[in-house]
Amino acid sequence: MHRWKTVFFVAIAAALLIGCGAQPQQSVEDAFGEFREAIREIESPEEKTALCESFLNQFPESEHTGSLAGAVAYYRGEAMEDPAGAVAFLDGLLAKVEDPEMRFGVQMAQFPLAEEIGQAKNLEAIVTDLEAHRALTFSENLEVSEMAAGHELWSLAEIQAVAASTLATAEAYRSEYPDTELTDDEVIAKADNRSVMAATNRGWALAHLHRETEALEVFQAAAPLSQSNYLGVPSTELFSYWGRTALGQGDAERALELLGPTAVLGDNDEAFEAYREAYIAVHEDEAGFEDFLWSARQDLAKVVDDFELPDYEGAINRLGDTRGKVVFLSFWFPT
Amino acid sequence: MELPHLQSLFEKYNEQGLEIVAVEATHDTERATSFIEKKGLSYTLLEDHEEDGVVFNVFNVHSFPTSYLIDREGRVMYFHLGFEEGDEKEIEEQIKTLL
Repeated sequence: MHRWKTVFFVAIAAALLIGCGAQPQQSVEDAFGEFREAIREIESPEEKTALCESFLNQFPESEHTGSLAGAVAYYRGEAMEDPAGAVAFLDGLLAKVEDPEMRFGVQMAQFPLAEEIGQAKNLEAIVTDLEAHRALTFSENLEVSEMAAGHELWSLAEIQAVAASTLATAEAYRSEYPDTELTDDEVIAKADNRSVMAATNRGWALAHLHRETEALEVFQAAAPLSQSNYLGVPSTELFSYWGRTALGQGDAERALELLGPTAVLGDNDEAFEAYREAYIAVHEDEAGFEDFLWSARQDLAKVVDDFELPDYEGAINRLGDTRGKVVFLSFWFPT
Repeated sequence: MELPHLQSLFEKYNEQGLEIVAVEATHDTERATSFIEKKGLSYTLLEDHEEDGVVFNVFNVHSFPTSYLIDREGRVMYFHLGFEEGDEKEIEEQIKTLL
């Protein structure tokens, strides 16, 4: 069935081309549609890399340039463990790309790999190039801030987090997305969320710039806006960074409190290690940590909400029917 | 991708009382079922049809995969965001503490 449809489609396309005497020049969107279908069908990073690179060779400048550069950085640079090859390919791409926004996307994708192979690029210059064309958006400020933090460029991380925080307002959100259908309350929630993310990065940068007192103030000010997930675990690193900063300042009791939910229920290794350290600092010994952890977990754990959903044959399954079993409940997305 | 790893955990620990429930809310049944068949998954696989259903409304999940580990009393004792190769070891350790 599927094959038949493909053949049919190709036949029509061929007929159209012959009929109009058109050039077989594909539009970017048609090519991208085919690319997207093709990349879903293959698994190996070599094949994925080849597909992405071939698309970029054919269409170096399109709205997909940044994300495909990111894909090359991932599939060639990380999955194939060929960072030098990825950096070289992206250098070649940059030689063909003039649009400042696309160049920014490519350079951001390339930056960590270039650093890894000892050919560090200048992150500040990457920002300046885009700024010559237009101001960075909130997401871009945040992305640069995180990239800078990841490479211990703490001053730049702080400056970019401050820039992000100035865009953490309802007005800034609306001016970036004038056609948004969100209500006023929803826009305010977005702005609050932005404040938390900017403060999280800013505080962490300040802590590394030995401005710990300011860092603690920044964390504390943003904390009331912080959102939590289903389990009551903070959705950002704010409390994790805050707790680790407090621990660094010798306030282990406070660190235990701040790190609690993140370290105990989550999969955040850094928060967990800091939590263990804080426990040792308070109790002057690691003895009893496992029991402490287990009882903290029981205090924080909530009983899961029951639900009913159909399987792919339409039979209704109730989560509550698994009571008495250990259940790993996963929300997934087919790729 | 975590689902094939979950299949091995399921086969290894099902007799000791481990159930795996995977919920998908993409409304792309064809893609989901073809993935499930290709990987030979045999644990509980459910579909959330509602735009504002269980996944978004009750569990407030907005990034995938997100997973919760529930003990025999129904308490959520651990969660795991995202998945990278190697994470299955951490997940297995957490499951073993509850079995």
